Amino acid sequence: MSSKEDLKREASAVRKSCCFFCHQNCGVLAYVKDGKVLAIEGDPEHPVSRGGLCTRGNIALQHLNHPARINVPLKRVGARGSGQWERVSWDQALDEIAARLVSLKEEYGAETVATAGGTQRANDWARRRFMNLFGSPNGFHNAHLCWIPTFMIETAIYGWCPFEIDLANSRLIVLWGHNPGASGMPEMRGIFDLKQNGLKVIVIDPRYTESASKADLWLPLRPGSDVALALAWLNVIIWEGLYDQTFIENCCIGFEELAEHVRQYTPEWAAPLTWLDPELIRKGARMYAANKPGNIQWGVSIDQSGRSAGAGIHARALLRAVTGNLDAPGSDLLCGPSPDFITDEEMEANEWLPEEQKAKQIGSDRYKLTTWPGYGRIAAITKEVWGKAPTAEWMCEAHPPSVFRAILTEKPYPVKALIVLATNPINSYGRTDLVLEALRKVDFLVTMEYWMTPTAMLSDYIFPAASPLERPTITTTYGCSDTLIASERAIQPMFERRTDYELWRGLGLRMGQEEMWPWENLEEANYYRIYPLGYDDVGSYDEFVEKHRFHFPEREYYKYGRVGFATPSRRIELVSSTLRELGYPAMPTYAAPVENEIDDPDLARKFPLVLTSGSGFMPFHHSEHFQIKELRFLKHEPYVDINPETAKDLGISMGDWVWIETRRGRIKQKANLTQAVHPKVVVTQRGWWYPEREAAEPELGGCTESNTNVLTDVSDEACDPLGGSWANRGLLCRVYRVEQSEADGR
Amino acid sequence: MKEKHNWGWPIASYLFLGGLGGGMIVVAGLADLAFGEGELFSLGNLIAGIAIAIGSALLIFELGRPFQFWRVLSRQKAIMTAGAWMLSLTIVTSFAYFSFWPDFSPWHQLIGLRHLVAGINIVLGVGVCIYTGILLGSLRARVFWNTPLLPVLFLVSGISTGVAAQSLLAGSWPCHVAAGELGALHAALRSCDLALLVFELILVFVYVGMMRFSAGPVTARIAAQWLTGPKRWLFWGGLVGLGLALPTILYVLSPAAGGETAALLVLIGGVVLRFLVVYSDERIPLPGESEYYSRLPGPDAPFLKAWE
Amino acid sequence: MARFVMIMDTRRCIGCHSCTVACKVNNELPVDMIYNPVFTHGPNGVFPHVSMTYYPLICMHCENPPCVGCCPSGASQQEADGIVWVDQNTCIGCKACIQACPYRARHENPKTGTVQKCDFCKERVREGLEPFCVETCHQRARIFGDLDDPESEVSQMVNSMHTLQLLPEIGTDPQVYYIVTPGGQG
Repeated sequence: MSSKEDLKREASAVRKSCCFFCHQNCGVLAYVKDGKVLAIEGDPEHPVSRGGLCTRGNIALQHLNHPARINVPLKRVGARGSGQWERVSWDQALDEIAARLVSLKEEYGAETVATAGGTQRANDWARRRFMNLFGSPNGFHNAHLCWIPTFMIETAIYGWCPFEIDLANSRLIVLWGHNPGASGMPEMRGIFDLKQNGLKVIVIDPRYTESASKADLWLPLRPGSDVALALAWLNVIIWEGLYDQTFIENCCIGFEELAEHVRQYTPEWAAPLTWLDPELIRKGARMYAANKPGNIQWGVSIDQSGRSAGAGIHARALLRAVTGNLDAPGSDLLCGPSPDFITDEEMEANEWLPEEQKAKQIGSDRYKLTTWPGYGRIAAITKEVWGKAPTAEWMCEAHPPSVFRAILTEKPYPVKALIVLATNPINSYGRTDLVLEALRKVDFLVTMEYWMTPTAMLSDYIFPAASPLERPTITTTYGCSDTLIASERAIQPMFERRTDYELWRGLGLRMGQEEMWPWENLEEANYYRIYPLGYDDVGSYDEFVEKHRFHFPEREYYKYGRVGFATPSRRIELVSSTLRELGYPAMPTYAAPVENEIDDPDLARKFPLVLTSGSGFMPFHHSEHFQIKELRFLKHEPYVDINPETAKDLGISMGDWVWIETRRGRIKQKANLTQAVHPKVVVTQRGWWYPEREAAEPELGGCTESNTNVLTDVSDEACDPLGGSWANRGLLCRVYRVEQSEADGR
Repeated sequence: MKEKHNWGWPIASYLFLGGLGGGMIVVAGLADLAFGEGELFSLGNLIAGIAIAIGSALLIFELGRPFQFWRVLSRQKAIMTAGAWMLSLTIVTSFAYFSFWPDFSPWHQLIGLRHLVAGINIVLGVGVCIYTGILLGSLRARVFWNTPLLPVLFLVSGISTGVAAQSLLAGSWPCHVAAGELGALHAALRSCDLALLVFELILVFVYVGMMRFSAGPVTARIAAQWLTGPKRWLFWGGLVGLGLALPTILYVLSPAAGGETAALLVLIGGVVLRFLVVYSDERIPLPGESEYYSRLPGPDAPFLKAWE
Repeated sequence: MARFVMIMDTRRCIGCHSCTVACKVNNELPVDMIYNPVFTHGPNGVFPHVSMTYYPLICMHCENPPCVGCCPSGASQQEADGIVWVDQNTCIGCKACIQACPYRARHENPKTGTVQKCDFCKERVREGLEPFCVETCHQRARIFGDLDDPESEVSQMVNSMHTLQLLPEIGTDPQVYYIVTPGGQG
């Protein structure tokens, strides 16, 4: 069984690639020969992963060589979703699509073309560059569910998002709605290593997760009630005098106003909203304030709370400010954009999008923070202070549910074309029935994919996407970090796969954008970006990867002393003028979860349990990898967490198929009876579809059967007013066994 | 999901056939050496040899690589190796001993040699009966087998089934004794079997009782399955009732008429006992084991075949 | 002489199953064969006073391996460095070793008719590399090494920390040591 070592010896080269299946982007050494990858293993020299690979990293070759991969461009024949395809060439497909886009632009305006993405997985700057040059402001991702609202609110109040945690010098970390134990393997390792040196860990999560099981303190709050908890922590820290007086005097404005504002938000007030004992709330707040320096690690859950997301993010952000846990050793660092290499934003050609087109960005009239109104304001200040702006492709996007509605209702104007890349919106965007309807109806749907996903099944054209081992990748935390890790291609893409860069450039060349795409491939573009780092011994991107691999600037604490805070007042704004100017509360004000038992007891009678969903679990990632047998074998069916007491009352036993139903619809998953959740809380698994089922209408890979997004709410009333985040968390639901419902004729 | 049964009906059947054959040649050997009545049970040796051969064939059938079975006849110190050699030898000596009895046999008159083979058969027969219990008992991971009572139980059961089978076959060719003259012999056999059955009943209850009230939760649970759980029909009905108690009663109450029925029931009881034991093969579960395996897909899960 | 052992640090194990997949993929096992499952023990207790521990399982390469003594063909054997393995050429698939193993570490391969199990990646280990499952673990929850070498990490850990073995009462003296915090909380 030493065949792997033999394979490695056979290889003619070793390439420093990366995994790419999650944001950790662990290093992968690829042993290649004659354009094939013979073997892979973790890269012990990679600064983040240090040789480890998780379940997903280990199946890189299974992913690369899977028989179900899409390897050639396909064009639909027959009705949409009928599963009939003809093979076409890249040139033909690009010609036809470019022609169609041009004609749609002439008839309806460039804004009629939208693009959808998922998590950070592609060269998003290239997508934005194309869209800016084309003239459409309607690019979007699942940004609203994942970090972007956090980034923008935190940048609004203290000038950049402090996502670089200086853990080695820290005494405490709060994992707020974040479970690295099931999602970020290297991060979890860092936490373990430091726990041995006394790092304290607080986990805020309704569920007793992998991370909670290793924590010093676990706060199992009601899903969606994070804003109440954060406000109560502010109350405790301020009114018990645990704040950092010096830091506030030197760096902040608005403290008195904030103090007065949070006086009402006592732990006693928060207790019935969070289902936490007031003393437990106090304990957490005191622990964070007392163990300085400390970190609050961002987690998706507040971003996914819907209506209360912005307030929750805002309140959580202020905790760092009042405790002085910003840009000091051991705290959350305001690293700012990189002055050393060319950032994503600088590649996006944002200056090419006319102002009147920016004004047409769908959702920007209502959700101002993460669209041109807010982004424009905030980016102008960061440019002044830091010299650069945050990535627009992410931080400045159309509102996805509003775009889907525009496809259906033609309000505010028709959206006739959608280009989908690195996402499967049917399983990953809120309110599946809305997405499905929109995708079925949209005039023109183009997808670039690894697999025949439910979304691909409905497309007019599908382009084959290059695998992680077939593309170079620069990792820079959505273009907003001052660090950079570079990985090279292991092999040229096999079959007719190409990277997304080739798609956008291919379209751009056919639409008069030649001058703006001077780099023939990603290696050239990436070399252009790292060139300013000034390495004399590097003549190409691959050489940079081989010789240097990464750029970590020397850590500079207290940068604000030199640079100031990138806010209008150049101080940390505890009362935010930027938010006020955009028409939002300048201080976080309590907002209840979208559906809750206090405000809507009638609804709670019908739907008595509280649903949360969207959290990650191994070995899958969003809606990926269900077709990799080695992974699917470990978890081949979806499970919903339910408390045993509740299950007993409902006549549900371990492993029963159950319906989980909200006002939007119902799905079925198997019951996992567990003491990890409160008796009133239910946690569905995300992402589920069944690739082994028929890849055509009406089955569409079983994409609605166990898909938790059938249950989520994207109505304007449910979305966060600041950023437009829709609600995955804290909704009301009911659960019942599958046979029972058949019997009752429900 | 429990671990599947690694040994199934072929092994259980072999255990029965091996015990049966071993018991039969013990009876034949003792009858010859101690009572000079070996001829009465001569056919039984042939049947015993065939039974053990069929049992061995079942063992080979159960192997993952049946054509490699010869590797078991090695110089390893495993109990199974010793058993394999013993079985092989026993098949030969059973047939050999039988071959003395037909009139036309060239060595029909070599009584000294025949006595020697009879003696060897007694030792081998006891060995074949008891070694299977020793083998199972040595597999300490299988907690219900982990007792010195098991080889004793298998030995008693083996001899008992051997006695029963021989009583059914007694007097057959190549024996010349007329059927009517068997009366006293059958009575003696019945008494013998009766004693063995009573002893076996006691042993069974001591065995199951010890397990039921043992410290180990798994052994207690399995014993409860036998006594009051899903296996209670097999245990009370098959083993205790049909296999032990009823033949005992028949032997006592109507020795003449019920003798044949009783013997058949004893044989059934021997089969049931082996099946009960072989299928009670549980280990002590590891923490979290059963939930993990219960969630793994079966071989028919559609995704396993979808992209072949 | 070397004696290879493994330590499972359950304070660090988060049940991600990376080890299971690394082993299966790199050793090219049948998809339904798992050498090294990771079990979840818990949550135990009643919400919210709960605890949970993950138990990575593997062949224990016991000091008294019951699976070696019972093998009639000699296919199942133990090396001087403690590694227990099965010679696929001489295994006849009698499954006595599967019956003998308390840890469910052995598996029948229906295609080959033989019994397979973890062999601590013995070819790699003898080249000075680590088993796949150890190399892949981000949390460094699996530590592998030579117990007879007083400088080795495993030796120092076993001798300085409280470790436990699984099912010690069966008497196999398993050579995989578990670090478990009392109460199960990491």
